[in-house]
Parts: sequence; structure tokens; C-alpha cells
Amino acid sequence: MHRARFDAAVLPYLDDGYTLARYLTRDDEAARDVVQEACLRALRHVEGLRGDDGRSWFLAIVRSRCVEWFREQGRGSVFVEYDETVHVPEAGDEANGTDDYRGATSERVLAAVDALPAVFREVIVLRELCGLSYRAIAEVTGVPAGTVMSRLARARDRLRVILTTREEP
Amino acid sequence: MTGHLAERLDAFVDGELDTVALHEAELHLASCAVCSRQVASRRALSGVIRGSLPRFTAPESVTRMPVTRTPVTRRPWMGLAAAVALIAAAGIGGYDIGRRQADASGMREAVVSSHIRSLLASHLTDVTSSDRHTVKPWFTGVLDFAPTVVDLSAQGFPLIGGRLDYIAGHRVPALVYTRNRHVINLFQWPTTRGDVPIGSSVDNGYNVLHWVTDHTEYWMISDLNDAELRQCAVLIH
Repeated sequence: MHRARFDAAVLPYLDDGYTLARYLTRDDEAARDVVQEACLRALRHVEGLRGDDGRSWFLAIVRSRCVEWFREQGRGSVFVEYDETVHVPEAGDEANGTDDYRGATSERVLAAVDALPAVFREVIVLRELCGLSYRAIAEVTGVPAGTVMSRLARARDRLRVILTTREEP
Repeated sequence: MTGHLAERLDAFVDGELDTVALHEAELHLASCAVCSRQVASRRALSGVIRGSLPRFTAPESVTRMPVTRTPVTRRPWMGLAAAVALIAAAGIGGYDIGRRQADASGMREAVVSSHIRSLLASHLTDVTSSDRHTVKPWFTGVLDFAPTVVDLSAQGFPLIGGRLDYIAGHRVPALVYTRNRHVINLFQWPTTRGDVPIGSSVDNGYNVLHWVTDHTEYWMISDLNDAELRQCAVLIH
């Protein structure tokens, strides 16, 4: 029965799905619609799910629905493959001692994550909030695990630079 | 002694290194202050992110049917008829309720989605009653036409209630029947079309029946087998 399988494999991850959609779209209403449509899609195709854990599978559906949402908004370029070669990683300043994150208030962290390109934002959310492994993130985002690792590194480098900079009084 | 963690920094912090690489990294960290500071910085950053970024809770409505945001007009079917006429005149796609079978695939899809939503939401009925004298009046308060409500308990298709649903943006009544624990949704609405005999199709594993009689269009859907579902449709027809 579709429904029982859906309940077991997908329902536990509704909040993860909504959190991902919410950070990607940055819009409550859009996130709700995205997850609702993802649920319908998941229910229709749950017979094709291999294994009993539908987390990566469901999150991948949510993500692809987000990509479509951006496209419908005429903002498809948000998810255009990020060219890793032209973006020089931010230089680390190892000599300056331990980084100081005491100025990183919740508002600043949220603003910094919101300001990341979508492909960086999603790996941060999937790793730090959803606790996914590189392999699972790779399944959700459709890129190799090596790319997940380098995107996470770039994303964290950016966040580090923004959040360790003292705000001007 | 191996080199700096460099691009392996994040994999180390995230516990993604294999045993050999992990051992090498730990050996290196024991004697490298620069890499140790980077690891400490990454861990601090993760702590800050996890401690500050809100996790969101999915609203309950995501597993329920979409809530209409269309303001309630006195005669929504007038608007629907006008829209259909416009679509027909313009020759463009969309839910063309007044046209022939080939155009019905969009409507069938909407019916299938509605059926799935009703199962998904554990929200099969707004009014739960096997008595058609209770179900029918309930609809008169929310629709501007009176749906046909037939009780088929004696024939083995007990009515369990009714629900207000939305198809192609319009309010429609859904009557819910059962047969051996299979749920049957029956949708209906007024149409200007002439009679159409019962036709069946399969969509997403569901049997879907469609017919028009007395200027009312009917869609019936269930995972019940085609023969029994058709039997139910014939009784209503």
C-alpha cells in the first residue's frame, strides 16, 4: 500500500524537507507549496523507492521542486552550475590565531547563510541542520561527493570571513 | 609526517575521512599548530551555525490539500463557464471542462491528485455520515448547486461522507464511498455538455471513470478493480 510506505519512508523527514525548501526559497509560502508538491510526487512514486529510508530520496525531490520554483520565477540561473574554477577561494589567515566568533549573533549567522549562493546554502543546511553525510548530500544535490566537500569548504570559508569580522559600531 | 590538512580539513571535521587518512591527519595535527587552529575554527563555526540557524517545522497543511485563496463569489460556476469559453475560444490548453475526451487528461490528473490528497491527509470527509439526508444538505451551505447523493449501502458501496474539494481552482463536492476497505471518491459538477457514456482509464494505478448525465459531469476514482468500480458508477448513473 502506497500510503503505509510513504508514512514510514517520508513522513519522518517532512521537517528536513521544509527546512531545506525554506532556506532555498527564503519564502514561507513557497516552501510550503514546494513540500506539499514534493509529498504528492513522493506518494505517487514511493513504489520505486529502494530501501526503507526515504530521506535522501525525498530531499532530492524537494530540491528539484525548488529548482523548478526558481525557474518558474524566471530565476533559473540561481541554480546554474557554479563554476568552481573562476571563484578563487578566500585566503585563510592562519597566522592570526584562533578565529573569534563571539560577534556572530543569530541574526548575523542567518543573514550570512541567506547571502550564500544557493549551491553553497544547500550544502550548509544539509550538513549542519539535517546532519547528512557527504554521500547523502551528493545524492540530494546530484553532484559527486568530492564536489560536496569542496562546496562545503568554500561555503564555510565565506561564512568564516563574514562572521569573524567585527561589526563596525 | 604528512602535509597540512588543506582540502581535507572539512572532511576531517565532518568525520568523513577513511581510517588511514584519519590516522595520518591526527598524527599531523599533533604537531601542527596552524592546522589545529583551523580545525578549532571549523568546529567553532559549526557550533555557531547549529546554535543560531533555526530549523523549521513543516506546517501541518503540507500533507493536506491546498487551501483555496480564491475569495468566495456568489456564483463561482459563472466564472468557471466564462473561463472555459475563453479557453475554448482562444484555443489554448488548460482545464477545458466543456470539451471532448482528449482534453480530459488534465482534468483526470487533477482528479487523481485530489484523490491522493484525500488519502494522504487522513482528511477524507468534512461531513461523516452514511445518511444522504445529512450529506446533501451539508453541501448546500458551501456550494451553489445541489449534488446528487445516492446511498448504495444495500448494493455494497456504503457512503461514508462528503468533502469539499478543489479541482482546477473550483470548489467541488466529493462523495466518499467504500467497497471492502477501498476508498472511492466521486466528484461532480454542472456542465453544458450533452450526455457522455461511462468511460474508464487508468492513471497512476488508479481506475478512473468519467461520464456526463443530465448536465452533470462525474469523475469517479479508486484503487478498486475496474469491474466493481464500474458497477458502482452504473448504479449512480
